[in-house]
Amino acid sequence: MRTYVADLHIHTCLSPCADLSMSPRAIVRAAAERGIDLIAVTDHNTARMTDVVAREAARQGIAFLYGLELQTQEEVHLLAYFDASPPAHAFADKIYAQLPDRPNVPEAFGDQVAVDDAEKIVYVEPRLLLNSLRLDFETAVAWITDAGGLAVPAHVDREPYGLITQLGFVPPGLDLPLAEADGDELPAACHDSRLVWSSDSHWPEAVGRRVTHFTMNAPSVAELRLAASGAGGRTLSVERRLSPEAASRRRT
Amino acid sequence: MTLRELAKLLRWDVQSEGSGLDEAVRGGYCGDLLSHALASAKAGDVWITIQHHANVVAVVQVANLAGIVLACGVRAADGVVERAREAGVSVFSSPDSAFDLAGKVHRALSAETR
Repeated sequence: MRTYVADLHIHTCLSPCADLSMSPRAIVRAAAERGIDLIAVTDHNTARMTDVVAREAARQGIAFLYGLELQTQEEVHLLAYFDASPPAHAFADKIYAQLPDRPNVPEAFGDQVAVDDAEKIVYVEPRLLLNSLRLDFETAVAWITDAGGLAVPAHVDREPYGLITQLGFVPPGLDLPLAEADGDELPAACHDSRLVWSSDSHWPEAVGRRVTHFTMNAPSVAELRLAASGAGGRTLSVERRLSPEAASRRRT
Repeated sequence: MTLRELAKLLRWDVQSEGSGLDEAVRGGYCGDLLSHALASAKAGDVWITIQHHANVVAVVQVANLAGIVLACGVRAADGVVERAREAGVSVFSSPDSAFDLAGKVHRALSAETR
C-alpha cells in the first residue's frame, strides 16, 4: 500500500473553456512539479485526449486514469473514471451519440482542438462539447457503473453545474462513493459520499491546486472505491496546495 | 418595440448596454438551463432567467438573442458584465419574478401589435 497524491479533474486544450496551453506535456510537467502521483484528464463529454496524456504521464512516471466530465440533461457535471483506454473510449462513443449535434462557435465558446504527442493539432471537434447530453443524471451514473467505471459528481456545491445546486439533493440509491466539492465539506445531502478535491484546472498554473491523498494498493477504480469505504486500512484525505491567487491564470 | 424601449418601460436596471439595444424585440424565452436556451430560444428573444454564469453571454451571441434580463433581483457579477460589454450583449436586472417579467414583456409586445 502506498499514498498517491491525486488530481483527478484536469481539462485539456480540447475543452472549449480550457486554455490552449493545456497540452499533454504542460499538464504532466505541472503535475510533476507539484508532486502529483496520479492524474486524470476529464474533458467535457469526450475522452479523445486521454490516450496522448496517458502516454506522456507514463513517460514521466505519473499514474493515470481515463476520465470524462459529463454534462447531464439537468446541467449537472459528472466525472467518469476508467482504468483503461478501451472501456473509456467505448463509453465516450456511447455518450457522444447523446450529445446534440450543435456546432461549436469558437469565438463564443472557445477552441476545441486535440493534439498529438508532439503537440501538433490533429483534430478539431466540430460539435459543441460544453452542452447537455440527452441523458438524465441517474442513467448517466448507471451507464458509468455498468461500463466498469466510477461516477463522481463534480463540484457538487457550485452554481451552476453542481449536483446540489442543480437538483437540490442527491437522488437516492445511486452508486456515488466519492463526491467532489469546492467547499471544505460536502453538503449534508451528500452524506453517503466521501469528499474528494481536485483542481478542475483549465490552465497549467492551476494543476494540483487542490488534491486528494489516497492510501491504497494501486491507482485503479476498484481501489478508489475501497479507499472511499476505508477497507483494509485504505484512507483518503484532501489538501489545498495553492491559494486561489497562486493558481490563477497568468495575465499576458 | 426595441430592447431599449422595453427596458425603459419595465424599469430594468442596465448592467451592460449591448450593440442591439435599438433593434426590435421579437419575443421572449424563459428558462435557466443554458442547453435548453440554446436549443429553444429564438433570434430576437429577450431571455428571462436567473442564470448568471458567464456562459449566458456566449448563448446570447450564438442564438442571436436580444439580451438577458435577470429576474428576482439577481445581478451578473462584474466579470460577467465585463464579458457581456466586450461581446456587445445587453444584460439587465429586475426585482420582478420570472413569472411577472414574462407577463409584462408579453403584454408590452402584444399591445404593440394590436
